[in-house]
Amino acid sequence: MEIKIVRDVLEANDQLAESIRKRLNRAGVRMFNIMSSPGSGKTTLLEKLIPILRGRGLRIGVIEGDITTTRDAERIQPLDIPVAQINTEPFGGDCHLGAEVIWPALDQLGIEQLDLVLIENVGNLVCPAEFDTGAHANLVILSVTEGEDKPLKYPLMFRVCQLAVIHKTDLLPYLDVDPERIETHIRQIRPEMTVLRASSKSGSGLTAIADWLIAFKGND
Amino acid sequence: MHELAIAQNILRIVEDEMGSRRLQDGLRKIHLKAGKMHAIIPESLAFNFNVIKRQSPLTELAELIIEEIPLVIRCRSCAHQTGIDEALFLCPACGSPAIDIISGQELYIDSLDLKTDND
Repeated sequence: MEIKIVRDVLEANDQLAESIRKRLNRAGVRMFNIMSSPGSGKTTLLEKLIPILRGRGLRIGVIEGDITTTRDAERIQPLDIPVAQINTEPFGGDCHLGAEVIWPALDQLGIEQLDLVLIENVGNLVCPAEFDTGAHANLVILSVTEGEDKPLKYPLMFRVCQLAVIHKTDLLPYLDVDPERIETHIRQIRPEMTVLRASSKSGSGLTAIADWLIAFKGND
Repeated sequence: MHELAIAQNILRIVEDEMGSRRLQDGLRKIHLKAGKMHAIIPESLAFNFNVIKRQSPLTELAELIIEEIPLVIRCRSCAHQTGIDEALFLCPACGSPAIDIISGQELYIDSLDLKTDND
């Protein structure tokens, strides 16, 4: 006997993510989920970006996600802003952050006193793309050392993001990489993607990222 | 990579559906539709499911049947509709980026097969 049920496998996460977005909207807070492979420079980018955002008068909170260690949260600590570190190892070493760990992290941050929350997701280009964190927009950071065809290899990640940052552009003189080709490949996966180029080391492009975060309205 | 999390979600949903129908046994098959965008590896998902299904008497005899749904896109500019093998979201007919994804993004449990008295 067949019973038709038609239930989305990710419904529980999606429902909680919607609740998170409603909660953020009520508090007047925007949240952005920053994803990438390990070593793309997410933490360094945050270290440089947060002072720029604070300089514009914004109150920032950060949710740090890693399988283990609190090293990233420790790097953000000196910036003197609320940081919530999630280690997924106690959950079995989850390779992504799900909505169920974001909700209590928001409690920890005290979002009523914040304008912007940045999630630094677990370094992984595969799984985090599947799990809506409740953020208003997703960002993917792709460093120039990772290869021009990365977007083609990880289409779901590039499909679910609204901003792609081509990072570590200071290294371009030492590489046989054409950032135009990276951008072309990104647009083959998501034609409407906003693509910015940046170097945390030189400071290039960081203001444009801050502008984009501040200007972002709603989620698509 | 996250096939275990997917398997755990499947288990929870199936337990919920069986519970709401007051069914305590008899589950033999779970029909999952997995769109190509999710890049689920069927062998890995089935493997993970077979490990955790033993946690519950409701599911321990159930087989997970995975149907892969292909990626199909339709162009908003020229109305061309086609299946695509690679996740390149440009119309192959006119090159327009204005495309809609018709299928390939879904991930849902479609139906359950229960043992009947004839089995």
